[in-house]
Amino acid sequence: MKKGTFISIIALISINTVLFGQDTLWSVPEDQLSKAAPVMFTGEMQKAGEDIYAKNCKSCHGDMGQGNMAKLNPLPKDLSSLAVSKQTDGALHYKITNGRGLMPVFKNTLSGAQIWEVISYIRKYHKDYKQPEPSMVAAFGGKTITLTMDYLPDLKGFKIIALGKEKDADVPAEGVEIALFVKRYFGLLKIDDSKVTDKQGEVFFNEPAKLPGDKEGNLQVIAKVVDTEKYGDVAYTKEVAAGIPTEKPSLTENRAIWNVGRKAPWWVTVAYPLTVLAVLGTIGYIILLLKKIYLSGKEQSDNLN
Amino acid sequence: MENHFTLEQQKESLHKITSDLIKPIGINRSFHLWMGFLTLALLGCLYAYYLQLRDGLGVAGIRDYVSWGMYIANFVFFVASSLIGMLITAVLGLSGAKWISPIARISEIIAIGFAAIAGLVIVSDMGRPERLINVFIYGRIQSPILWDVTVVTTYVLISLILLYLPLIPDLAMLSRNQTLPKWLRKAYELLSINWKGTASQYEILHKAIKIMAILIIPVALAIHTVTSWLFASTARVGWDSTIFGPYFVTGAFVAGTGFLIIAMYFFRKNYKLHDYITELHFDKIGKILVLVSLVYLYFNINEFLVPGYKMKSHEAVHLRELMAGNHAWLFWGVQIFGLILPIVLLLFKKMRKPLPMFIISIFIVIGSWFKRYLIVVPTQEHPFLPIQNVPDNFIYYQPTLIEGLITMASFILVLMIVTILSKVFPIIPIWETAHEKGIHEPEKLS
Repeated sequence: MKKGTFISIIALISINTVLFGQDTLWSVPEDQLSKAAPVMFTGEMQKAGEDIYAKNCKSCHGDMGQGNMAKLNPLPKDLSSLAVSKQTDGALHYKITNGRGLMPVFKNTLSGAQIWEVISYIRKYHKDYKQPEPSMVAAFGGKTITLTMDYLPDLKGFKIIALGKEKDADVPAEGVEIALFVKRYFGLLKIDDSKVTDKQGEVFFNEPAKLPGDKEGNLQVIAKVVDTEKYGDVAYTKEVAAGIPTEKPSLTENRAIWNVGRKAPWWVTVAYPLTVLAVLGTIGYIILLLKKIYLSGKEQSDNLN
Repeated sequence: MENHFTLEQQKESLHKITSDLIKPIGINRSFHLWMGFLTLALLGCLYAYYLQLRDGLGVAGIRDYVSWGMYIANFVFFVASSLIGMLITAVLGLSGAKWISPIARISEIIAIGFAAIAGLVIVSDMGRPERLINVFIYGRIQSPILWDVTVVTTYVLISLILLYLPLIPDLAMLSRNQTLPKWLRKAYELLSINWKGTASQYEILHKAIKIMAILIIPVALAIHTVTSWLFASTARVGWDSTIFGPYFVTGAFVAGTGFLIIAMYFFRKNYKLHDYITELHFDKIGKILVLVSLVYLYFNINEFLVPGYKMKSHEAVHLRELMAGNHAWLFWGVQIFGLILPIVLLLFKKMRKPLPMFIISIFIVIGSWFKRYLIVVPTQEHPFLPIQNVPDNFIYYQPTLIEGLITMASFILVLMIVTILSKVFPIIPIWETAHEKGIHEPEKLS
């Protein structure tokens, strides 16, 4: 019993330390500290970052510089503060991605690129901040790469070409990992494993077999660069007739109990008025009977007269 | 039945019946006082309704979570109480129970009162009642709400006919009664559609009553089943049940029988009808009350034990709130004082006397009202997808005074209807009573 109590106290203390251990080290791995954004922050990124901040961060961290953060223990930091501005982009990216204690893990909620957008928004409030050289500068002249896709019905597959910029000229981007998806009702369906572009910046995917498409057999095929942290969200979408033509009426197209009155099931459309008519008809018959009583009474008094 | 009375005896007997049953008819001082009191109270309540019309439904306690509050619970209760007309006149009447004739009209009057006002109760739950017409313009034929509107209206109509048909011979008799004011006699004569009491007229009348009594059974079952579908056709905890139809219908018989007993006690005492509504009637109705209550108890056990055995997560929250949480006092109070204790007590012959049954019925009726409240409100406190970051009063329902007054208004209106109907028509059918006493052709004697 005593041993049990002791253990639970120890357990409580350790949980407490894990959850609320304030300002103990939030260690960011060395190699993450120097990580830089793939591109230079733009006004567009900051705008997108502001929206993401309002949805995911504001409820705890409050408005920038307003000090209206949620009353938690430990108190969430004002992200415009000096303590935050001193940290490297890599450190912020790591902390948002992996979380700690009450700070949630965002790697499953936000994409790498979205996290960079939030950081670009936070950085707006840091006066002395100067963005380090973007990671992509080293690779392709600071410009993001572009993707194009060709559907090759003879080869039954897709050829995807990745191009980078070097001195304003397009050059094949070698060694870029590409993944292929097909759009479905709920989210994206991944086709095959992701593949790395060759010297020509090309990669080939076999077309998926027997995927239902729309009425004409069209599929929305999407090629995406996997390493979004390095290259940003790069994608190319193309509609190709690579699927099986399928005609499935939407759930609200047919007669159904949940549909609009016009599309009521035929048995309701028939049964309801018939039932109402039957009841009203019976009542009508009763009124006829009452008329009969009236007439027979009248006849009798006429006879008496 | 053999006619073993002499003509003189029959005349004397008929005279007593007629004068006994006609005595309460007519507008007297106590009627004025009582109606005056009801009117004043109604005006107070209507002021509350004016406030609701002016300021909107926000003056009631209903909010985002619990958007069906006291009004809808009261509506279900009204529909339930109106089913008694069908139980007595149709189910018992068609099965050949002769003893019901003195209480059939009372039950029909209760049915009309509650069914007629039930529609108004729904309107009181509308923030913009002038848009009621949209139910008909844009109503979906598949929607239980449209079916409900249809069937409630039909039920009121059929109940009115079932009140009127057996009244016809009485009306003819009353139109010849010199003790009544002239305008009333004129009205009776008009309504009695040349009733002469001939054999052929009786034949047609019996036929009409029989058809209506048969027709009212499916309509009455439909009215409360459809009301239950308003709940059961949604996938919410506590409502998502396949037995909601019969559960509501049997619950309705319990509430209606409670009201019938209260009315029987009241009219017997105030209209001095001890010779007509006898202890035998109370005894029989008491037994019926036990029967319907037992069936209702059986459905209650089904309704809570089966989901309670499985304890699906959302269902568990709901059941815990009902049985051990916020609503526990009300829940167990309703089950014990409104159902179990009445059943046990009414098993004893001593308890099936007018006064004890009157008291038990008051408990039954109050229990029935709160039972509807427990069906409607707690479920809405536990939606599958809770709304986040809303104030407490959005989640928990607290009825307001205005809501209470508007609900009170509906009861006052029912009382007014019952009062008027029981003042202008004999509360007990004269011709049926005469027939049962062996007077075969009351029309010829009077």
